[in-house]
Amino acid sequence: MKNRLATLIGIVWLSAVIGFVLAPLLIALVVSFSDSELISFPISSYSVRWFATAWQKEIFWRSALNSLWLALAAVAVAGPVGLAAALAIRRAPPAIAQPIEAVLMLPLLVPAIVLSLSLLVASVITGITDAPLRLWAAHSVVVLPYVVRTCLASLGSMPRQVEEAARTLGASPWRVFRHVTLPLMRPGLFAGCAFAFILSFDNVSVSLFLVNQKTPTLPLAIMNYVEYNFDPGVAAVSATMVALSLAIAWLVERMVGLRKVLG
Amino acid sequence: MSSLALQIDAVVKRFGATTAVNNLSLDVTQGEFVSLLGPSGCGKTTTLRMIAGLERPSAGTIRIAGIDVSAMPPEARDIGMVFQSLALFPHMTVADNVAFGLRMRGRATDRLAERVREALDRVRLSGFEDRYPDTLSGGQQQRVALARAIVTSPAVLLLDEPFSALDRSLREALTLEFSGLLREIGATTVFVTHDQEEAFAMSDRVAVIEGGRLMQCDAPATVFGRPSCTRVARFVGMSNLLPVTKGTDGALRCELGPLSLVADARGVPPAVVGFRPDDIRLADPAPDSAGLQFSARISRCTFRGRQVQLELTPDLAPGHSLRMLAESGSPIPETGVVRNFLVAPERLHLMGE
Repeated sequence: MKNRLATLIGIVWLSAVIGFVLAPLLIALVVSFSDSELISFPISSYSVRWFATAWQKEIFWRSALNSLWLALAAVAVAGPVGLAAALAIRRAPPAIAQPIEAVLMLPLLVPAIVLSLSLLVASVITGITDAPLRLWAAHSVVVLPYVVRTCLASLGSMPRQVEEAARTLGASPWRVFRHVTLPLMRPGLFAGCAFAFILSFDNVSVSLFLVNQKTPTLPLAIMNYVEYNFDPGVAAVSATMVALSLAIAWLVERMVGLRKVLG
Repeated sequence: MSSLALQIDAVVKRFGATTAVNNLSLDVTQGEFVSLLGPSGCGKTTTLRMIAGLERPSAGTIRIAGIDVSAMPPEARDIGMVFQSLALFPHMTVADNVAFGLRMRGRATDRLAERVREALDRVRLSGFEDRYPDTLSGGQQQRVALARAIVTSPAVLLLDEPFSALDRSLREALTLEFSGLLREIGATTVFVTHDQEEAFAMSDRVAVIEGGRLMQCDAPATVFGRPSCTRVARFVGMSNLLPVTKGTDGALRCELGPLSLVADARGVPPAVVGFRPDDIRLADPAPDSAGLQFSARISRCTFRGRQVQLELTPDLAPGHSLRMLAESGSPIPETGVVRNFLVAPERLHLMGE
């Protein structure tokens, strides 16, 4: 009896958590298929017209492209840098590696708003006032910890001594990296880059401080839009973003799960 | 000199303030199987890693096939190595694991598949080419690791406790199989182990290392029967060790009484006499000859199945405690009783400190 009660409480609790987390998302998804002029729930009739309408608005597709390029550019920096940092952290003596790792993880711990303000100050001090350039730099910094984390994790799960074994079999350090280390890190690197992409694409706080009016990112465009409009178009754009994130997450799951194929 | 596959000359390795390997010299001839035997932390693995080039010696030189490799990186040395953790490449098939060394060294590019097949054949793993290492059993992974190391026919093959992760019966079977196989292909092998039986069973010579120093390097039977010093003696189970003094007449004696030795044991500079627990016998039936005879009280008696372990307190040296092993079938005196014991002359071994 006691056990069954515990199970029941567990199920209720789990459902509540899932519902709490997912319900708003689901409502946005449902609303995006609404046919009405204003956001309302439940919806009376279905249509995909808001997807077409919203994505035809220049502010959305242009900012979506901005966000896409920004996320790709940030990953292009954070990927190699994170990989190199993870390799260096693992090879360095702990006395050096631990502080460096801690510093690289800081963007995860510092409140987003504080970090954003710091990055703005940094951009002013360094004189990098070109909005796309400083957005690129800031996003690269913000997403870097995720790449480092996942790369360190895959280095940690690498079988001991494989690199040394490769050396004794005649591979130079570069070929060891090329044929052994990198293939074994690929799942971690890939997952890290995918998360980094999503985080950059969804980022609001950093962009908010560093963006200029001419080249907003998609999340900022959505924020601006809902200040003056309340139609299901914004839900349609959001739904597209959710779909993109889910697609990437699914891809990661596939790729990391099928490690052998990747290797 | 060309028959020397490996020459280690006065090699020292320091890690900060500690000296892991201290002035170690060892020559290995072509086709020979030498074990580095010692307790964990004695420097045997460090020595092996220096041969492989994974550690740089602080001093001394290492030659492989006559070439000074002391300053060469591992990939430039003609070696093969089997690691304790095996270190198979999990993202490669068995065939690719084995082919890795050939590919990296740019050897046999036209006969690659053939060489890989031969190597897998030798370790009896034909048909496993396309499997991934994590789908194999421990023993099969062991075989892949060996095939990967021997496929390039290295001048020296290095084995770093490759069996330590296996259970006892599999370990014994593989020990015999591998040593047979390595002899067959004429591989020059340096084998690191802390397991005496393994070392004795596989090796032409056993190098006993302790505290970073080479204590003795001889044929297994010699190391076991005639240890050169007390540390080797203790390590191979010769646990009864007594200091020796030389009388004015030239006769040797220890605290328990005069020693009478077989002729060939006299050459050694006398310092300590040693004998094994199972070399002590009751002297009750009048002895034909005794190397050492003494009276002792039995202070403890422990039943160990096939054997009974006795602790003896000699009358003449009550500070010492001798260990004796007797067949559990034979009549054994009770605890507290004083009896006469003897050790046969051929069982007494003189050695240095």
